[in-house]
Amino acid sequence: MDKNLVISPAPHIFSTNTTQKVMLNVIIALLPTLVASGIIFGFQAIFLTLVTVASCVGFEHLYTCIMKKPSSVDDLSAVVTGILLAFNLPSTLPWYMAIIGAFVAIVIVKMIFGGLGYNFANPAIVSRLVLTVSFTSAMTAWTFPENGISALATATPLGADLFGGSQTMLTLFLGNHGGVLGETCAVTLILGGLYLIFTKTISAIIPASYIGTVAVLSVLAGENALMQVLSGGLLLGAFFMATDYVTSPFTRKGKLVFGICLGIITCGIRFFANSAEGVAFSILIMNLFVPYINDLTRQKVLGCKKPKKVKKAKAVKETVVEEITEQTEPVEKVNFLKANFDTVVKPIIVMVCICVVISLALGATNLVTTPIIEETNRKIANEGRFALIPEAEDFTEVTSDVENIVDIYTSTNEVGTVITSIGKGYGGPITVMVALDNDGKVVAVNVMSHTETPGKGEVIEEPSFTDQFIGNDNDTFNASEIDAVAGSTVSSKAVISAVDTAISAYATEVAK
Amino acid sequence: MFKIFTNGILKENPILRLVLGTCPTLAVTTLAFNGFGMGVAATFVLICSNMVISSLRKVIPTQVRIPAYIAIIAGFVTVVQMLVEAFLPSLNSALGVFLPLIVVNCIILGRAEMFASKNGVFASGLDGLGMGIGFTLVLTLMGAVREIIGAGTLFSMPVLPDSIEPMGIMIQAPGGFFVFGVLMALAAWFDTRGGKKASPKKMGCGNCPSAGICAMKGEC
Repeated sequence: MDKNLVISPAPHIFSTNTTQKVMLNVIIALLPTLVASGIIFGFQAIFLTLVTVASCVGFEHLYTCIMKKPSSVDDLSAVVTGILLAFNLPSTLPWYMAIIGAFVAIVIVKMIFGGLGYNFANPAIVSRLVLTVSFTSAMTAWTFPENGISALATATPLGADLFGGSQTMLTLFLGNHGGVLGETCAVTLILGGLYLIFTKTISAIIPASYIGTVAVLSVLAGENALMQVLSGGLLLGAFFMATDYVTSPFTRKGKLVFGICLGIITCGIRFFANSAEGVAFSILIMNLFVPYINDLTRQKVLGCKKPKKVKKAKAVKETVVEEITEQTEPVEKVNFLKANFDTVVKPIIVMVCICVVISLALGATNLVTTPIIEETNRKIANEGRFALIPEAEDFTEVTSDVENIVDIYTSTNEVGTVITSIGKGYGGPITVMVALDNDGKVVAVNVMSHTETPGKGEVIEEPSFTDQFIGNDNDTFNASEIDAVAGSTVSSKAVISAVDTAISAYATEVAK
Repeated sequence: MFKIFTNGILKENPILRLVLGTCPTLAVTTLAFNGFGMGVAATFVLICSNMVISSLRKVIPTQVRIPAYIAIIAGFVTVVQMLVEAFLPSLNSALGVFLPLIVVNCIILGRAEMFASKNGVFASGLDGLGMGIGFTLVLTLMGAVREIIGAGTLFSMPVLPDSIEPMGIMIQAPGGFFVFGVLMALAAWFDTRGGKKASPKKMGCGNCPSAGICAMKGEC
């Protein structure tokens, strides 16, 4: 165990601080903000805080009981995590989601990794991010105080700014605006932060460098610096979450680096990313770098020298290599094939045999399955034709050699024509079936097969996209009027071009 | 003989104990059915390739054994793909790109190298069956857990009440890693019988699942 402890150079000092005292100080610092959130968001906010605190303490106690370890709840760290977690939730969040959040924070992030002191990141931050990814709509339902400006009902000031809204500085200071519980009231947050700094519970370096970096970068980027600092979760994050002892560097230099990097990442996310809030992500990212920052900024012991690299003697190796090459040369002159039969010739013969056998097997399977696959595909295709024109009795093929047209079938009872065409998509060809009536107008469009990106390209199959084509004929169709699906532009354009090909093929091949 | 078969299910479970084939494990287990289909297809390929490689183990020269194994495995995967496409078109569209990707599944190459190249045809077939069942079980279990928590359904049947919103993170990548980790921990706990520490003899370099092919034998 002693091996793992790095003792910094003397002098050392005896401290009467205990975890319990530190945590009690943090709770005192958080109380004004809790009162403020109760006033701003109402009883719901206090209730949610009680739920998270109770479940955090409960989970920690339960875990220590199950694992037969001494209970650690009386160090009050679970209470702090509970309050911080509640401060990261909107007041309308259903209580069961808050309990899931407490479970993630305490059991998954803290206790499984070994309890307080071993958590790799701030439990409340990870929990907030897990909840945001899981329950996006509930977590971003920023409730708005009843006496607030209703136009901003769905957005925090940062979000509102994206939509061109504005917010007076006084509202930002008092916290009388939408957001999660603990991030709105700047006055109480600053008050709590200053209390922590004056009682020497936290060092001022991280909050100062973090907030300072955000302010400087905001000015450089042409944003309103005061607004960037006061809105969003910056103050809450800078004073209470980035300064967590376990997940922040312990050297002064390290703290400075930590704060500046936090500011850079936060501004990067706020200004360039598709998300209004970057504090939580930047704290998580920097938490993961803390061990490296600690290592690189560790205080050097006075008078200690770096160990020198030892040069290896190269000369010995070179002579050995020469000797070996001299010995092997005469052997090369013997019949090459005979000498290397086992190492060269046999492997080649075996590989060739294996490949030939496999190719034959594949060829045989292909011979058997190809007609079946074609038959099934034809069946599916004909089913598709009947699905598009249910009135048709049967279909006959019209021969054509237009480029990108697979086949053209007209119904025997003259109710319409179905043209299958191909468009070049992102992941390969996209087959599209277009049904036209006797006037050459599109009746229906169906995307038959495609190999587009799973989870993204499928939107081209949606009726909201394909129904846009209905009613067009060769005279009225204008490819630029069809809306491509955002995020799948290449796929949508492939479908549009396939439909275009089909419509013009009808004019040249069928209507003539 | 029976031990060879049961080895793959828990004690040497390919995913949870040997940590092979984690890529398809994380990728396809968003739904229980996808995990099950993937498992069955891989099991079939595993049994066939294990038996063929075992029967050819004295013919294939050591220098080209890996290319030879890959060629045989790829051949079987392609055959399976053609057959599935011809006779089970619905399963084909459900598995999509992951069906041909069985070729690069480490479990199959791993078992060829570690077991089939050293044991008889029947034993290799049994090993393939055991490993395949272990793979299928874990994939289905992972898919089920992720589907229930992440989408509120099981084999596409709703299981959670509407009032509870499913936890979307579970069917995304982080959820996959999380469930994977929890299952691995459970398997390790089960293997060491809850609390009893593994004996040092059992933990050494020689007991490493890759010991057979390790270049640094006994030196790590």
